[in-house]
Amino acid sequence: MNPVEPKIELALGVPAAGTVAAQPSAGPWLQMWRRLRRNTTAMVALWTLVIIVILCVGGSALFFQSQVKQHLEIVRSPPSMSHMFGTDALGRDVFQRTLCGGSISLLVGVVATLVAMIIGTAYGLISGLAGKAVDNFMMRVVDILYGFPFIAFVVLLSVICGPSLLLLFVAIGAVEWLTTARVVRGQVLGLKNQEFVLAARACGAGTGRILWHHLLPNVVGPVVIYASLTVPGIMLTEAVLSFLGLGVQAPISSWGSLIQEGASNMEHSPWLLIFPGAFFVTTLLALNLLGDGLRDALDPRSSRSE
Amino acid sequence: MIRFIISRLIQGIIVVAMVLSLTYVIMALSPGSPFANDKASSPVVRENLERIYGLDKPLIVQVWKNLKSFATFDFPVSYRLKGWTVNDIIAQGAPVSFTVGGMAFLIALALGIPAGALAAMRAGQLQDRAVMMAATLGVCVPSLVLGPIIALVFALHLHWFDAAGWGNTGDWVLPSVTLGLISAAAVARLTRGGLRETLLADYIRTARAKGASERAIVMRHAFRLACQPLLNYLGPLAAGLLSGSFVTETVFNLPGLGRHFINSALHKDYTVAMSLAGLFAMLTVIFNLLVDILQAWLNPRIRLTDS
Repeated sequence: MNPVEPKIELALGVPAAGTVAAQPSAGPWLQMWRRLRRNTTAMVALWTLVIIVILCVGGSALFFQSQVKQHLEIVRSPPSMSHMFGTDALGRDVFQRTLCGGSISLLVGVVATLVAMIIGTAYGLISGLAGKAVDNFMMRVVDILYGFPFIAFVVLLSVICGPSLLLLFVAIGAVEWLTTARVVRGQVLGLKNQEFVLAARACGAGTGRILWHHLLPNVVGPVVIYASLTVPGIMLTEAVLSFLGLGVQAPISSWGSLIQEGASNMEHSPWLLIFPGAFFVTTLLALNLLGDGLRDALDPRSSRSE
Repeated sequence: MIRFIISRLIQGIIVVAMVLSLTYVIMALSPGSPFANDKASSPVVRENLERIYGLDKPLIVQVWKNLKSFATFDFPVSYRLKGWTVNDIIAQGAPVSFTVGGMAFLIALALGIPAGALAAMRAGQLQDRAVMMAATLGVCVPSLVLGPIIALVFALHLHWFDAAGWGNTGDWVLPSVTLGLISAAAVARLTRGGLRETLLADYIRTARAKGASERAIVMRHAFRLACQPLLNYLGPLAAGLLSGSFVTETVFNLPGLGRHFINSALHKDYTVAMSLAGLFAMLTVIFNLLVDILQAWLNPRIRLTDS
């Protein structure tokens, strides 16, 4: 009996995307992937991203020990055959440090985005489903929080949380959820009066079940799109904090702290700035282009508006 | 209209008061004291210092006292910088941040709007692609990468300007260009997006049919409406630029509001951090209100109501 259960849920959940009647064969995810594949820019961005992630994750696994090893006899040597990206002021290999720093930056970007998405989705679902007075109040809270000087609060929180990677995730995630909440609430408002929700209610499903089984699957799409556009923003926030000396602390490094090191040594050893900077910018660019492509693929109508 | 402005101002005052209280509470609840770093001071001295500044009172009393002093623009004294009031710090930092931010804002508009308009008018052509590629790249190059590169090229190699500091007449140029270029990229994208949509509207066809020149159509007819999404972005941008960019002020070593805020947060200087956060919130509220009024004035279809 077990395998049948999820199929029923799928059948109940999918019609909201409005696609089942038109294309019964391909699910919305498959359609989205097909549209994305036709978008050359997005695919180049996707493959660039895949390569960067493999390089960073693989690199940090391989060089985790050797990246912090100091070679004081080859301090600040420019890029060469043995050290592709040169060495820093303590003779550490910049290539290894860039890859290891990248995996920290990517990790912060992904985990903090997850935190922000979970908070935002939960908030938006509740606000949208609760309706009237509760919804009004909850959205007014979001409006007020939008007026807050965001980066100032991240700085404050990171100063107070101290040099802890875990708290850094939470601090950034706790501030970045506002737009997700708005997006999800908008989706729920459109969905909650549709027939499939009414049908579920008529069958006796409780609010929790409707939230979890019927509304959540339908807001996942927009949330994923928004998440892919949030990751670069959060990585930038982390880089800013690390640049200011408030983020990850030595001996751990991220792209932000590497760029900071490079910026203070740029006069004599510009490669310290150029290589981590180039990796960082390429990643941000790829994430943004991929996010744009995903948005266009999910909602073809929006593709020509920008 | 008047009711709208008044209700928004009241909402703004609530936001600023909440930012002030929240900043103070976050800082006060975190471990450590503003006077803990004075290595010479014994516990007795520290306790006396805390009593003088009122830190031994209940938290709610402290918050209320500081809110009151903020409301009357009689800002409290700094806990860390001896002999400084918050007024002094703002008087010293604001000119720096306002000069750099204001010039950056002008650079962003002067560069971004024409570039975006050109791209929209030549949609799909070479100019459009070039502008959009540059703009997408510009959006993704953060100031912590662009700032040092600009300093490297124009200060350390070409010696046109000083790499850091505040004192010479040209010191605003490099930080303003850094911030301006990055903001110009976003401005260009929004201008192009808004104009492309507006240029398809019926009233633009009417203007064309009347024989208006392409230049007049874009500048006089289309831009009024096309700049609405851009204006939404410009409110927070102006507030953010005037508050002083944390990164750019660090890169170019400027004594602006952003640097003061980070130092006060690091050194648990409650009153300074709280007042500066309040100032940032106030700028955001004011610029968002200005944007709303400007949008209604440009687009007669928008009616301002207080609901």
